[in-house]
Amino acid sequence: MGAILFRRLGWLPIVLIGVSIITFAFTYLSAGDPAMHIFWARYGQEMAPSEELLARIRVEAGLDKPIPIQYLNWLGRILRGDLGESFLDKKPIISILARRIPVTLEVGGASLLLALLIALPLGTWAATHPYSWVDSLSLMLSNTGVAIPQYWIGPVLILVFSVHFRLLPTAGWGTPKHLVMPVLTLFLVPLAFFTRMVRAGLLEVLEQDYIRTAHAKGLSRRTVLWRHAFKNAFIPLVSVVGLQITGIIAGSVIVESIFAIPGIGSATYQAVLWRDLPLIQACTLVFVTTAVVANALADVVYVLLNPAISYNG
Amino acid sequence: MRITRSRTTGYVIVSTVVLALALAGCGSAATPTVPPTAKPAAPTAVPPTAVPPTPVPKVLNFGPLLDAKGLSPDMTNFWELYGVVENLTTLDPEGVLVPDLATEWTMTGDKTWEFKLRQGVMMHDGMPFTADVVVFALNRYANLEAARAEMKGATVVAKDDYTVEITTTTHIPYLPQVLTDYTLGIMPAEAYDADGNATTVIGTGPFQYVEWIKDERATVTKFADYWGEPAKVDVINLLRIPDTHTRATMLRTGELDIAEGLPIADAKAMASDPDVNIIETPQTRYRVIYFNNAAPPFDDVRVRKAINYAIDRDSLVQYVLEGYGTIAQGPWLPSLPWGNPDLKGYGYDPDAAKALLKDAGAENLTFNLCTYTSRAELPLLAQAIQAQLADIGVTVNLEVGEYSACQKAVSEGTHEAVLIARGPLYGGYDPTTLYATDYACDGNYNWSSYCTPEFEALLTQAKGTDDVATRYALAQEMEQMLVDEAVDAFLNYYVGLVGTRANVSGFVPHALEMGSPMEMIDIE
Repeated sequence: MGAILFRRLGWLPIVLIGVSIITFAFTYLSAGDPAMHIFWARYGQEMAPSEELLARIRVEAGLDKPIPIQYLNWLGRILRGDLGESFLDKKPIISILARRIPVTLEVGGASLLLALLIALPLGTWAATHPYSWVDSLSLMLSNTGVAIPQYWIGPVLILVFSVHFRLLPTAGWGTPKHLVMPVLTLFLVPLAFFTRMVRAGLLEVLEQDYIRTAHAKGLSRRTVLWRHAFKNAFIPLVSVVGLQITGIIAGSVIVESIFAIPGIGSATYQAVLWRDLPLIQACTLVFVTTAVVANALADVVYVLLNPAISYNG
Repeated sequence: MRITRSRTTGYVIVSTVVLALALAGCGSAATPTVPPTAKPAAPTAVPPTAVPPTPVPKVLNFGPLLDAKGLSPDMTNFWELYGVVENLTTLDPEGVLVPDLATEWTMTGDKTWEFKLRQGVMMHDGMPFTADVVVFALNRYANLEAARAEMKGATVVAKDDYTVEITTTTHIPYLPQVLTDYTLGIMPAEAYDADGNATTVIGTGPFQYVEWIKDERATVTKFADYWGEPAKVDVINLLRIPDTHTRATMLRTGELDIAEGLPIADAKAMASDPDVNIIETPQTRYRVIYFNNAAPPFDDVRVRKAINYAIDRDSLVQYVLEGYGTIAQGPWLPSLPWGNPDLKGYGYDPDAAKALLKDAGAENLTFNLCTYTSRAELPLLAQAIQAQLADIGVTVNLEVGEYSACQKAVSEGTHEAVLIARGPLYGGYDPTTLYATDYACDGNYNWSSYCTPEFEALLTQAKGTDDVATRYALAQEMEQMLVDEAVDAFLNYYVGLVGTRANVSGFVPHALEMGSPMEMIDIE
């Protein structure tokens, strides 16, 4: 098993290097000259630079060097923890991230936790009472949860809770009330996936021979569920949680913009609007690294929980 | 230090009283930061038992269009828009040049100007506003890489405590207009650290800076010692709400008292809400199709004219912009000092368009129109124009992408027509600046590739004309020339939408997007 873990985690640095190359390449894939983007960010999009100013910007930003050298310089700085400065206000990006990542963690973490807290009992009930009304409800929830886009449900929640009932602040950050609607918007998709996963996993396990054996031994229904079924039924859930962390990150860009939450999602949105390339690169790097690491960790946990699994990659 | 000893003592006394008052009234939710005042310390005479209850501060929640980009005036117009920083001169809401921190000015030489400064002005840090503040602020600006051409390399010296002399590198007859630009806001050396980065905002306006948290909010409070009309509200929370729909909703719920930059759909929806007033603010920014005058098919004036005649400007405003826009025939909003309400443009005349195309032998004209998505209405306008031109047999291939893609095509000279939004006053508050960048042979924003000796001659003449009336008359002549030659197809001007709650009064929209006078705004 150690070999399996080593192989799974051994890939991680290679994947991360690939991630860094792709992230860096954004600078060049985005239409136009990066020096122009720096110019626009500083002077406004409707200004036109002189050639000498552009040349000076290129030297200043190291854009006059060959692209592989630029990449290595950039990678070197990142490995030393220097993500550069924002084009716009020339503040170190690391300080922007340090302020914003905890906010996103709070919203995302609360969403995942709430989704799990509801999905576990709901999925279990649905699996142990198939074709009951609770089962139908869970099915409906799973289907609508993945189908409703966040940019729709967010404004609808605002209309209901802020405009109509005046219960919650429309947008902003700082009090527990500010957390309610963003979490309700973000948790629907994970809730849908988790519920379906718990139900399917449990249904499958409940039909296994060893469960029938356990029942035959005369164990109570509850003991069978808790001692024998859950352990195996929830293993697939682990990898889905890993995947949903990625989903939460993606959703944060929309949700934080709608609800004016100062997290890394809205920072990304602003950075794109202002074409603040270093900040876009840094946010992308944080997002992709989180996704890659979360999935790798999920795989590791998966293996730890279930020794029967092996990777033959 | 310039603070005299007696004055320092005065601060201590006043601050103590203020602190006591604040503590006495600490029941109120948001106690504003009370600035030190230099008024005689009269409250000390009042026995503590007679202290009246502190009135609840008037708080205005304001949803600005954009967040600040920094603290110093050269980085952002935010602190000028919301009443913190002021300039030597300014434009009133009607767009008329008026004194601000300077009271009068004269051109004393070919490149020199003398500005008399307002006396008795106190800055937010308690220091008196004198010539040395202006000398610092403007010299700092003149040495910035991004400084406007008119002020770049200028030198500013103090003649006495309330007189400064500005020497520019070239002859700038409209320098007082240039000084209205937000980048030339007056902020003293005390606001900057040793590296020259601003660490706070110190101004002279009716409101003083308290804090700014990027992408979240800024707070300003009433400055009791403002030289002009005192502000009517005590605190303004400038809340950054990036999503325009959310911003509009917060106005509906009353979480915002004023919201800028409302989307058209939300403004329409709120039109019937008795608690909200929607105010239309005219803007100088316009939408225009830049034709590449240097290459076929638009090197032929008949083709350019045909397109101008074939565009139904009225229905673009009515149906695409849902009424929120005004028709443009030239670059200048008619309400500008040099604007021309009698400009002769192009009415909708598809028959004339067809005749012109036939005459030019371009009946089956096909061209590429580049535009971009960051201004959501541009692709919609492009589609409407595509349909209008199809009526006269012209095929338009739309290239909708990023601004930088259009810019790239222009820089390579491969563009045919580009639909863009253009702010004409970025280069300075004078007609010659837009002409110099967009229509001069060496203009660095000459997307029309326009270059004629007649226009160049007029531009040179206008630039060298000191008399404002003559200068503006020349500007109108040049505008008519651009329109007569159908260099571009000017479409319409922007209209900004600001919403205020019914209990807000005194909000006056500024004709040139330079901010409503914040001290006038009141809330019940």
